[in-house]
Amino acid sequence: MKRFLLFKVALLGLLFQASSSGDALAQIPERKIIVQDNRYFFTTVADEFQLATLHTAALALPPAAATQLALPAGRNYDEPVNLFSWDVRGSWLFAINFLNHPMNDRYEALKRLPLQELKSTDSAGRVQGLLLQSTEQYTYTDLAPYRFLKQQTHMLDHFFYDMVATDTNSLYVVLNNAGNWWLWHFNGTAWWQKPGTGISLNEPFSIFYLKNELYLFTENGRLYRIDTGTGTAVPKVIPKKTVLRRGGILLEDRDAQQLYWLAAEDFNPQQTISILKQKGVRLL
Amino acid sequence: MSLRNALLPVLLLLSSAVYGQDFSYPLFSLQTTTFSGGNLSIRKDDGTGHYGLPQYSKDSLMPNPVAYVSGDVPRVAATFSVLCTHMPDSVWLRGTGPDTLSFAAKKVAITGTGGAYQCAYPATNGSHAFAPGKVNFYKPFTIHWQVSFDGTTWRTADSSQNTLYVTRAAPMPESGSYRWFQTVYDLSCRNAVLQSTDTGIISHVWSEFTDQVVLNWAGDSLFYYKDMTSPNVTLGSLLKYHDAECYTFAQLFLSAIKIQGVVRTGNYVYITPVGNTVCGYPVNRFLVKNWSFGTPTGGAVCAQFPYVNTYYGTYLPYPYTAYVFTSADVTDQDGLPGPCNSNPASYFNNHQIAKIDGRYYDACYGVSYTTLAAYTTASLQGWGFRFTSGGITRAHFTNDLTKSWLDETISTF
Repeated sequence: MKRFLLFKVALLGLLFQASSSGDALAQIPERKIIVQDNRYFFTTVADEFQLATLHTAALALPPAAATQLALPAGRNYDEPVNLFSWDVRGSWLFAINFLNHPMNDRYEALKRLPLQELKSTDSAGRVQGLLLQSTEQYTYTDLAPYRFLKQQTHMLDHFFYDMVATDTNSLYVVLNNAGNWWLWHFNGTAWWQKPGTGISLNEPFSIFYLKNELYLFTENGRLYRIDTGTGTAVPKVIPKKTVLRRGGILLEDRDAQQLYWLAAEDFNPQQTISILKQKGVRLL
Repeated sequence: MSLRNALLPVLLLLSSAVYGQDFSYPLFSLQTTTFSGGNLSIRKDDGTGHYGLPQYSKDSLMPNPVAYVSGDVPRVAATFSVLCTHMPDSVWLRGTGPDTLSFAAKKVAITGTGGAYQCAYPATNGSHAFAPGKVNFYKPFTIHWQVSFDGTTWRTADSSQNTLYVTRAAPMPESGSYRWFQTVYDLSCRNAVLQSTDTGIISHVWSEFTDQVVLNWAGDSLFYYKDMTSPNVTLGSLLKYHDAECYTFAQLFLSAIKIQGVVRTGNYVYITPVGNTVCGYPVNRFLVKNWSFGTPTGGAVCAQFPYVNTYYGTYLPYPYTAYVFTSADVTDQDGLPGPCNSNPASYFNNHQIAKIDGRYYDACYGVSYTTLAAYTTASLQGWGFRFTSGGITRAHFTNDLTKSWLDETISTF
């Protein structure tokens, strides 16, 4: 399976030492860049140890100058790859910690981490410590979508998912397996779900929440609005050129309520977000 | 004049006549051997890429490995240097390998001047293919090269040695963590040599794991949890660092089968407690033998899981060599042994094993079972759950294996 985009983070030895020197040429954002409250956020995932790094800076600074924070969360490398599922709202980072570790309970994988508690990659300590921390702390609530799926089947086949927070205490999850997909919502106290209809989802995808609407963007460049009342996916017309190429980075500007698609190879960490937006294709 | 001096010219004349093809004088030195003809790519275990050409080089300390699919004909080229005062314009070269394999005589040009000459044996197919449908393993695969000045009288020139793997069929294409690493070829072909059936290959590859000694291509042991925790969860990191978690041994076992072209879907199994609720908490921990259950002190909190260990922050502090609990009703003991480790990590939420033709293979411990229930009885010693209150985490356990059961999630590696 082709990956949604490329990613590289240098990890030296067993110390979590992702470079903070600005040499971010090899660090391509995984899945998306979020602009929020005049800052931007993106994540990268380590080549070997599954852990994610959060990059964040003020809008005026290019990604090469972003602060790099070690996340006690990440994802595995199992094929087909499901990219790291994460979001930022207010002072919280949400993540689905689906890294492979013998102590990582998938039902506890939904994390909500206080941004202020995250340590820089230079001071986060050893990989083993972060991995253990990821299995013990910050569980937000039971990952009901996965538990529900497991009650339906033992087989994972075209298992893809993504999550988006709509505020600091609610979120949506879309999960696909073996030709079926479900829309899940957590409102801070309880989950509900609706079987997804309207499309067949057998490819990786990202979801995002913009202008009070939930959208789903597939690896092959199809964009849908998800009717959260019915779970129906409604196709959205997007510029043709985005359909021509697989892979890319979504740039979700929540301040401007805009969505862009950026080819992974067009990501230049020396360029500011405003320049990257100019290089991208506006979807919404 | 002595008799000796008188006979010397005659002896020299006879020598020239009888031993005119004596090539001990010209020194033929093999410089390179290059295999081609559909040979398979091989990744280095250290993750630095593929082995390149030539596979044998006089200047290299370690010849590169070679791999073919059975039924393929090896194709070999070679280069030589020759030290000699005078050389003809051409010589004949040929090679002989194992299993009566030969590389036909070729007349090759001599180049060079001043006593230092070169010649090159062109890429030439071997006399026959590797036996079709059968695994083979040559360590080493030696080619004895010979040289002749007249195409009739042959003398030893030099020899090359490479490790050569022959897979039963075309390997499954690389995907994810499954890569064509040298150790995957080596472990597979070494154990499954001369096997031709799926079942034969599977059972013989499995034999590598049953004694808890798993060796890479160089004969070095691969460790299962050198520390009590390992960040290595992919086949590549196991082979690079020689130490990893359970995920990787299952991947190594399955890779060594896939490299022979054996196709099995639904072969990778993630097992974890089913998550049944006990005392208000989901059971999501299990203990692999051996643990010692002392006097239970947590019965007032949970009578069904009365044994309790407590910890603050982590139960596995640096240097990650032992579980450290603030208080413990249950303590870790030696066993079950894993590869190169008599007491690997044994407190888990999940575990990865292989499943082939309905049988479960736990490559970490070298045991196999037909049911998860049998696996549970043989390998586990208890179930657990935990919760944190006031910064202190309480992990409750039971040694009653009927209090939960393993659930499997199946995917294809």
